[in-house]
Amino acid sequence: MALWDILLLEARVGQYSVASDLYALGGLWAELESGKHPSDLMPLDLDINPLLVLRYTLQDAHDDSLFQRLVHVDPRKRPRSVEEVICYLQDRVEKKIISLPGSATDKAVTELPLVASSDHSSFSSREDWNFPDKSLSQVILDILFSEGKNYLPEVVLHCIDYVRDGEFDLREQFILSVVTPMLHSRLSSNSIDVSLKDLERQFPEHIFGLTRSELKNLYETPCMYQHDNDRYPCLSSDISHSGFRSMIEHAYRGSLPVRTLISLFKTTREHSRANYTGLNQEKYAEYLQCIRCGELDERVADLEKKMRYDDSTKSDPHFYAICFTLEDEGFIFPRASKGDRFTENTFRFNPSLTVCQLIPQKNLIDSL
Amino acid sequence: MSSILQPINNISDRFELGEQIGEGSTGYVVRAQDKENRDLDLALKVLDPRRWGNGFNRDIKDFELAHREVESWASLSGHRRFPRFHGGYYEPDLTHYICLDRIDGVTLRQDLDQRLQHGNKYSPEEIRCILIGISEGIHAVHHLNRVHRDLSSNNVMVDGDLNVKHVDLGFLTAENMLRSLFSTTCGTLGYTSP
Repeated sequence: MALWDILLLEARVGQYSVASDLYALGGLWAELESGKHPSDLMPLDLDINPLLVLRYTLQDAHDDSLFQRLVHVDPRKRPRSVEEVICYLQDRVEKKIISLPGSATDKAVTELPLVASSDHSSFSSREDWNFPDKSLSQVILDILFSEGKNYLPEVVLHCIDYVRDGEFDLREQFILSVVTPMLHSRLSSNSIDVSLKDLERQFPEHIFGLTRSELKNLYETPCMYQHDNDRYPCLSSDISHSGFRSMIEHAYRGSLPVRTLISLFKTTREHSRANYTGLNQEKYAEYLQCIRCGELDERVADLEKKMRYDDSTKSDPHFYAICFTLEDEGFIFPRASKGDRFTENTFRFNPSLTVCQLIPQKNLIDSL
Repeated sequence: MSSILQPINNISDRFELGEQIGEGSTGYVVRAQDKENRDLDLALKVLDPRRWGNGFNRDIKDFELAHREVESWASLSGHRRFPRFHGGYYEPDLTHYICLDRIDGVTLRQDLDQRLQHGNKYSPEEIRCILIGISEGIHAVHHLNRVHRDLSSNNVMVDGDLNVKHVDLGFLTAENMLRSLFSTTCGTLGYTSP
């Protein structure tokens, strides 16, 4: 396809792509540098690329190869992904020493890099997510224990997506609906030591619509699936996977101490009750049968296809899949029976909390 | 996926609507308070069907467009570069409402203008931090296999610490739908490639 054809598609015909967003990012960059709106810099004419001209206007003061690539007329010459842009920019940000006002020791840490350059090439293709050297479970464990800071955020997010895809209902985990805004609140104030005590100091009267005692009660004895929406209207039962993802991301970025994250998981696990058991005995038997027949992958795919949008079943293909995967990796899941009240075993089949189940198996909590 | 878009007879039944705080290509934004939870400071993005079909996106079914935007906000909720999503609603006349956290800040353009008035500009370090913030948001959009298509300084908000949040996703379009949208042209002049 000739360059002109591409340009035609991109602008005249309206075929926007990742490259178009990158061009717009270049436009924003120009605006931040010059203070002028890109359209004010040059008379707009579709036969003239205003930023192409601007590129030379700014060149004296701003000789940046990334900028030049972003506003390249040929989308094929622009960066391949915004991830590449972040990587480039992050490399140029000096490592900042920031103080942690909430920490007891007021210790300083170095800002985490967004992307570890050594890992970059391994995960550059979104189409081919893989974990060449470690199992998925090991990657998740690494992230949880802060030993995986070199993982790309995309890898972290992929882990979470894998563990708990957004298409299914695990929305009753209201503790996350408390934690997520709490994290955002704390993040914006650059304070990273999340604790109830700090929150109480910050919100002396009400915290997210709850009195201190109510929140304390919820925080200490969460009832994951049976909370009273009328009594606690601000605790939406509709918590998306992004809340969970966000927590992990915060942990990754260092804005949430891993110890706190684990503590939250642990508290949830120890105190929650539910009548939702994940993988019941019947399905577990199916799974074992699949293993015996060597039809695991096909079976999981089939289950996903059949059950994904079926609200009539409590089954969830994704935890089915993750259980299978983890089982393959050597983690043992005891059986749970349909109709069981919540037990510790329940979480062994709950993908969003599989992660926390892996922790005690590794006997690592106490060592933290 | 549980319903992220719920029918409602009249949005005022649920929310107290405040002043208009923004305007976009597909509607406008008002400040709002949830009558069931008055502690949240909310922004209601109103997708007004009367504005649809006046140019942009006229080839897309209105309802589908609104759904896509609601889905997009729901998908990106929780990402630190986007306001938190609290729910989507639509009235019988198909006016859609997207309930989000209100962002306490100004648009990037406003912030830039304020600085220029005082003879200031962003430092190179500040520019890089802002670009990283914007890029993180764009990356999240791309991760959903979508493109933003209307990135501009008016669609990004910053607070006093230059924390960036994207506040307009009106042109989000699944990349795999683009083949059917050849006649759709959008974007903000100056930011669109030639």
